[in-house]
Order: sequence, then C-alpha cells, then structure tokens
Amino acid sequence: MSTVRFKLNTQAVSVSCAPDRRLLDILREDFGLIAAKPGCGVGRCGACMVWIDDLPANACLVMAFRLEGRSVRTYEDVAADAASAPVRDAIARCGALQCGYCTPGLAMTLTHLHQQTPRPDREQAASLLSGNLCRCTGYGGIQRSIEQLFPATPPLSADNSGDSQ
Amino acid sequence: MSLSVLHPSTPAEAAAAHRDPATAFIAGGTALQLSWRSPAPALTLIDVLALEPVHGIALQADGSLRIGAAVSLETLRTHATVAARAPLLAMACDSLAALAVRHLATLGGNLGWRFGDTVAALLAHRAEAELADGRRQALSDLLAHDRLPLILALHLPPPHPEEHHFYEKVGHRAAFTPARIALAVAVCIGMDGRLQDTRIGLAGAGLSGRRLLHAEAWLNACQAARLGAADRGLRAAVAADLPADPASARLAARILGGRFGRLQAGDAASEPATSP
Ligand SMILES: Cc1cc2nc3c(=O)[nH]c(=O)nc-3n(C[C@H](O)[C@H](O)[C@H](O)COP(=O)(O)OP(=O)(O)OC[C@H]3O[C@@H](n4cnc5c(N)ncnc54)[C@H](O)[C@@H]3O)c2cc1C
Ligand code: FES
Ligand code: FES
Repeated sequence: MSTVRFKLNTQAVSVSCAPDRRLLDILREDFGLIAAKPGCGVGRCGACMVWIDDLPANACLVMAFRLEGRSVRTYEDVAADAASAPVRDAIARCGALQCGYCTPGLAMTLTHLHQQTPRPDREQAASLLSGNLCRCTGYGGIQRSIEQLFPATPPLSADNSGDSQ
Repeated sequence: MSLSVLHPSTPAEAAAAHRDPATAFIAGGTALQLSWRSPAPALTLIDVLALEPVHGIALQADGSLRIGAAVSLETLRTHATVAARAPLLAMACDSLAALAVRHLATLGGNLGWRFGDTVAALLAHRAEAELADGRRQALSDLLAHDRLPLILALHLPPPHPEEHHFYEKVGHRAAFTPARIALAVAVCIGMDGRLQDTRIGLAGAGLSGRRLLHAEAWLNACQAARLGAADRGLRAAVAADLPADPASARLAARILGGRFGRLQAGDAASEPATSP
C-alpha cells in the first residue's frame, strides 16, 4: 500500500492502494467517475481515455504510483466545460454514436485535437483517432464530425514544402 | 508478496538495484504490464522516470543529437529537431501505436520491449546508447544482452546533408499492430550515381533488431540506375542477413527492391535531410 496525491478534475485527492492499481479502477470504484469505460483493458480501444497533464492517456495503462503530483481530467469535467461544446455538438449532430460506450473516450481525444494550435487537418485528425475504436456506429458519423471540426487542408504554418506563399 | 516501486535518485543507484533479478525498470509501463497476468508478479519496479538524465532532447557539442530514454514517442513524432536530424525515428513513431499510448510510451521502453519499431530507425541512424556509467555502446551490441542494462539516452550522429531516408512497417493490419517487420533505410547517392553509406535497420516480431550488412554492402557496390525491384543479387544478400527466417528475408527484399527501384526512377523516397 502507498498513498498518491494528485489533482482529479478540480479537486486535490489522495488514494491509498497498491502501487500498480489501475487509474481506470480508481476512477470508477473510488470516485464513482464512470465516463471512462473498461473496454479492452490493454490500451487498444480508447474507451477509458482521460487527460493526464492535459494529454490523452489510456486510464487502463496507468498505474497508481504514476499519478503522484499529476493532474487527471475525466470526461465528466471536460464535458462540463464550455470549451468542449463544439465537439459535443458535432458528435450529436452528426450521429457519431449509437450505444455510446466509446463516446466519452472519443470525445476526449476529439476535444484534445480540436484544442490544438494549429488544428490538425481532417486526414491527420482521422489518423490520430486510430486509438478510439467504435464497435457499432460504423464510423460514418465519426467521419462526418471530423469533417465538421477540422479543416480540409493542413494549416499554412504546418506547410514545410518550402514553396513561397 | 506484492509489487513495490523504487524511485532511485541517481543512475548508479538504479543500476545497482537492477542487479537483483527480481527487479525491472519501468518507464511508461505500457509494455511491461501487458506481459503480466493479474495479479502482478512479486517484483520491484525501478522507476526510470525519476532520474534526471533520461529527460530531454539536446544537440551536443560533438554534433550528436542526445535523446533521453524517457522522451515520449509522441514527442519524438512531432519534434522539429528530431524531424530534421533523425527523420527515420520520427517516421517510425508516426506508425507506432496510437496517440494516447504514444504519450505514455518512451523510447527506452520501446528498446526494452525488444520488438519495438524504433529499433530499426535507431540502427539506421547509427545510434549509440548511453549507459548508467556514462559509457556509450553501439545499439547492436546492447541488444545482444539478455537483460538490458539501464539506458539513459541515445546519441545519434548528424545525418549526411544529402542523405535520403525511407521507412516501412509491414503489419498484419494497416495500423496499430506490432510490426511483422519494420525497415528503416538511410542512403546517399554519390556524384557518380553510386549508392554510398547505405544503412538498413530491421526489426520485427520474433526478430531481434539488426543491420542488414550483406544487403548494405551489395547496395553500396551498385549504381542507383541499375537497381530493379526483382534483383536477384539483392534477394541473395538479404537472405544472407536473415538466414534463419527466409519468409521475412523475402518480404524485406521485396520492400527494399521496390523502394530502391523508386530511388532509381529519380523519385527519392524522402527529401535529403536538412540541418535544423
Ligand atoms: C495498444 C498498444 C499498442 C502498441 N503498439 C506498438 C507498436 O505499434 N509498435 C511498437 O514498437 N510498440 C508498440 N507497443 C508496445 C509498447 O507500448 C511500446 O513499445 C513502448 O514504447 C514501451 O515503452 P514504455 O515506456 O511504456 O515501456 P515500459 O513498459 O515501461 O518498459 C518496457 C520494457 O523496457 C524496459 N525499460 C524501460 N525503460 C528502460 C530504460 N531506460 N533502460 C532499460 N530498459 C528499460 C522495461 O524494464 C521493460 O522491460 C504497443 C503497446 C500498446 C499497449
Ligand atoms: S480499456 Fe483502456 S484502451 Fe481499452
Ligand atoms: S457508439 Fe457503440 S461502441 Fe461506439
């Protein structure tokens, strides 16, 4: 047993547990935060996506001892933030969900990408979503929401072709 | 009996702790825990991220690029200096796992995992590993250890300004799977059209990382304009590099033949590297 102290959403928290207990279990069992879902349990499906120090990370791969001093945000907090509204709207409007199991994880990655400067283009965004699997919508709706949220071509500042503007 | 974690404050302390066979280094932990069945084995994990010298990317006075072993694969994929000085490494990270895993996963862990895709790229970039006592060891020698010693950093000499690069990962699926093989190539074309200083790194499932020295020697004796996809000489040279695995040798020879064939057609696989 050891104690880790970290920031969870807006609060400072501490947890006493085995050092290799998974963040996903801590969130769901100790804090009742169930937006991050258990799926594959091995980093492949993205259903358990959280942000650690503002970067997407699979909660099923993170051991408790790694949380010391870090900041964890879950979809409960991100969804309550007005900054994620464009992503939430796009997912809803484009029908990018069916059963909804993958949706919080998908929204966490999409929101992170949407808040990047410069924003990735559609092709990059689709490729950066390769760690979020959906078993039931067929990806058509997800692709439509990508089209709504990301520019068709790379932003000028990411163009390294050496051509003059 | 359960798992415990040690946070060493110096590389010497970490290396000393590692003499106990019931220990393992842990960085991102993305590969390590996949090999466990629940519950975790009785093991002391030695936290590599607690060490200061494993962090950061810096150009050294001797012109080499020093990459800390704990740098994340997503940082390597997106870092401007890495793109300029170690383009094969950036390309390898571009088709390795997915964004969130790459945020957690480190370069040292990718080497420690043994079948990591970055190995091929690091070999083609002539990387040397910096060990706990400050010594540098060629990566190919390091990979011969059964139990890897602590790696603090990788040092990559500067690429030749006219170097061309290509990287190809072949998996059982198009994305997000361990490689069947990963091939990383650096090559220069001399004034006389001859290939020079060809370096081919290969890694893959069940294959320890290696340079394809026979294939490199065969290619270095070639005029770029003479290469064709079905060249028997190249196939024989690659087979000599992978004597125990004819299927991988055929696959590697086919990839190399195709990519070098395109080089011949004047369609270089990548622009020559430029200094940052
Ligand atoms: C979903 C998923 C997809 C993946 N896809 C790929 C892929 O496409 N390609 C690929 O190559 N890998 C892939 N991996 C495997 C793995 O995540 C990566 O290889 C990763 O780079 C391991 O890094 P880590 O820091 O998490 O290593 P850890 O799990 O912390 O350690 C891995 C091994 O390296 C040792 N180690 C760690 N740091 C050091 C050090 N500094 N010195 C010496 N030994 C050290 C550890 O003792 C352990 O044996 C994938 C993993 C997952 C979960
Ligand atoms: S449950 Fe974590 S990635 Fe699938
Ligand atoms: S909406 Fe059902 S898994 Fe994606």
